[in-house]
Amino acid sequence: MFTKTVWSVAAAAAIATAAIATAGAAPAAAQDYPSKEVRWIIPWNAGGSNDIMARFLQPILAEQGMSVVIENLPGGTGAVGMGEVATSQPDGYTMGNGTSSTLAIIAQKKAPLKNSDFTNIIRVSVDPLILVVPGNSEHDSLDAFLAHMKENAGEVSIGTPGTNNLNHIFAAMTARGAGVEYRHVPFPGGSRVVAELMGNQVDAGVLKPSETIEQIKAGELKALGAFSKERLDVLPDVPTFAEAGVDVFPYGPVVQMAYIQAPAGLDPAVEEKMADIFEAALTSDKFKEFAAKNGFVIDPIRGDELDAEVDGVAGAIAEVASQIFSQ
Amino acid sequence: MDILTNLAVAFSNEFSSPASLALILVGVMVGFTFGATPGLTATMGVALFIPLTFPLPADMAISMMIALYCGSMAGGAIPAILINIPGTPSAVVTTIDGYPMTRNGRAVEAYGWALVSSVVGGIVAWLALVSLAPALARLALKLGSAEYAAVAFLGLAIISSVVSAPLVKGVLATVIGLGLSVVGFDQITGEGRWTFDSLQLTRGIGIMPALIGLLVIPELMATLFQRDAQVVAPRSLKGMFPTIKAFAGQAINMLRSSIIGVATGIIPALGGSVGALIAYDQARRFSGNQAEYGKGAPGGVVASESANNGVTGGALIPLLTLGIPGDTVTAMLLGGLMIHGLQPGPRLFETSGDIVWNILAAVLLANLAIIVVGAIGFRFFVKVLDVPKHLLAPALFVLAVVGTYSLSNSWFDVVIMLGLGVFGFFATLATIPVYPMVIGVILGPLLESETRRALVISGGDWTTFLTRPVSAVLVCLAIAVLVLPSIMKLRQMRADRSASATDTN
Repeated sequence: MFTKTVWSVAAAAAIATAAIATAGAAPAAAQDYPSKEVRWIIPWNAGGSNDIMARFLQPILAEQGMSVVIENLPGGTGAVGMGEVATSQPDGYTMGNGTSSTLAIIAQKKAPLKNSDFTNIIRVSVDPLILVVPGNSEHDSLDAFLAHMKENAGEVSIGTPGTNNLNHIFAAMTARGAGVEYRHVPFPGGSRVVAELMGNQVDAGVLKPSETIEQIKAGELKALGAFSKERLDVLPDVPTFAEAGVDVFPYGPVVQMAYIQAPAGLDPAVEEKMADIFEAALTSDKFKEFAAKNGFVIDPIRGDELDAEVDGVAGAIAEVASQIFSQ
Repeated sequence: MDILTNLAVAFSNEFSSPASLALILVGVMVGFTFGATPGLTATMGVALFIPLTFPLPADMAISMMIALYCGSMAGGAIPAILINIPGTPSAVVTTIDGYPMTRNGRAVEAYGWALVSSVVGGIVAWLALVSLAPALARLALKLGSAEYAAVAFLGLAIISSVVSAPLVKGVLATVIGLGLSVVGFDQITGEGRWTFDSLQLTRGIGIMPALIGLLVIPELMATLFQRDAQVVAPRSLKGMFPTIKAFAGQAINMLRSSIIGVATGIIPALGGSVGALIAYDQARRFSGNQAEYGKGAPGGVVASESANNGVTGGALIPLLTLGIPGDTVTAMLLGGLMIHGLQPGPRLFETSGDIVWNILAAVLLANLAIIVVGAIGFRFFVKVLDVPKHLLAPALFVLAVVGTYSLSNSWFDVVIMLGLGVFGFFATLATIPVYPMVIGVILGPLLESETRRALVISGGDWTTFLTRPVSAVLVCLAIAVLVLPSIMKLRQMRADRSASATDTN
């Protein structure tokens, strides 16, 4: 036990030293890509879901021959970090995590960025969103909750992490389903919404299963409905909003997703190579297990298919935002 | 009895594995270094360690990261006391009395108090963690935005009144800090404010750039104008640890401050500096000689440091019992738990009990390691006082720039930091205190966004701050902190006047 651990520590130290030692310039050519470290910009705080996923992927990518250095450049709903990606050399050695949240503020023209500033490489994850209420809430079904919203028009509060994002859109869609006004309470981060729900400070919240699955299993929170076309694998007993007769996608499909982006003008051969490396890592058993445990979906679409998906989501968000948020 | 059996097993696990003891020690040492260096934060330390701990078993990895977290809090006091530069935002309050003690030649004593208080704070928090964690975590959930806003208001009232300047200047400085905190994305509406269409400004003015700029730079600039002020390094480290008698004299303060720290730590999103501020205010209020506070009272260092480390342990309570992180470091730890295959949440103790108990044992060991690392390390840290100021100042300047840049790899932060530094220097020339500005930047976003959240939830009804009992008490306390000293002074003046009037008769 002892010697094994000592070896593990030594190995960790060796990896760290190697990581530091290999930093250096090398010419970028598609056939020998990657010949040096790749800068992976996470435009969110250390410890957030994007950051955790990146740090989990780091050693798996290394097995695929890509060593990455994770840089957290938070701020502006991801616009600061992605701005850095957009203005970097399109040589395949800088990439970042695009998300629906950043896409949403770009679509609403709240950030000086365009989708054409980027090359979309591959989708990393899709996070469904669900409507949750406190475990001791009197509402056991979506119908009951919507009825409650109707009876108390304008007085029911729904918490979301952040504002002007997908969570906010779906909170608004829930109220639209009940046909009434509601109180939107944006909090800094999903874990804060979980705390507020468990303390009965707000009536409901729009969150990812990965943020709530443990609390749902423990009975501290109840999931009432899924903002998705089909029921979720992680929560098979939770109905979709469509089953309750509420259309939450009146302007086209919008999903919470994270995908890898590089600067525009990337050599297609390098793009292909990056996508190949990521696809191998994303479909590895280790990552699959991590995804299943944490309730997010791996759907690694790439190329034209990803471009179409990004444009579709951006268009729908812009439409929803102009209808919902501008009031 | 379950608790004791579990702990006994956990401790025997720890002691039978020299590797895990060594890792805890390493974690504390790294934590000290990160904490003592302004610009290196515990969050960065934990982020760097997550990939390094991949090959380790989960409990060892998490224990090491928690040791780093505990160590960084204790380490923040070192530069705060020795060179008037807090290593962490939580250590801001430690400088108020710690540095004056150093100037009076009591650096060793001040550091001894900081170390002992840190450990006591850590142990009190640990006791709360192992015995009452689930109950305390549930209690904290009863607090919402109204209470958060009220706590922030209280913290701002305290910092305006405790600095050794007239209340008006204290309030002025606090308001300047609040003004700075308005820059950037509005948390509620998502609109940019005072951003002048600059993407960089949408991020707002960060806590660390403001802290380094407003506290470190003016201090460095001031040394350029002082020829005499070399503090002589103490030759001996005798008298570092307080005597039993002196300890007994501070015991109540230590315990009270630790409990305040734990309480603020449990509440998600409050952070260390509020706990330290409230503890400091209480210590000053209850001490026999209020006048000594701010001029080098050991009680001030004790209050701040026991509260700081109480916060660390307190923040672990909602993390381990409910899966809710309270600050960026615990959010990082949550990520660490997930990466190591654990599922943080209300069922963590059931599903991975043995691992959690090993982690809990490690928290106590980390706190004990603090005293060893701190006592030995101080021999080296104290040498910084031997360095001539004209050499130390440029070195610290480089550190301030590099540290600020490394926070988010942003030169813009460095520009903000330097700009605030020059501003802070002129403010100190005008005897406007800079601490309240920093606290204003730290607590401003909390005060503003929580007030607005509370109002959204209540449907725009301001009485929510007075009808919720905890919030009402906090608001009244804050008003008392601001108003009472003035009333006392007025009374004193009247008494003096009537006394002098009778004299002339």
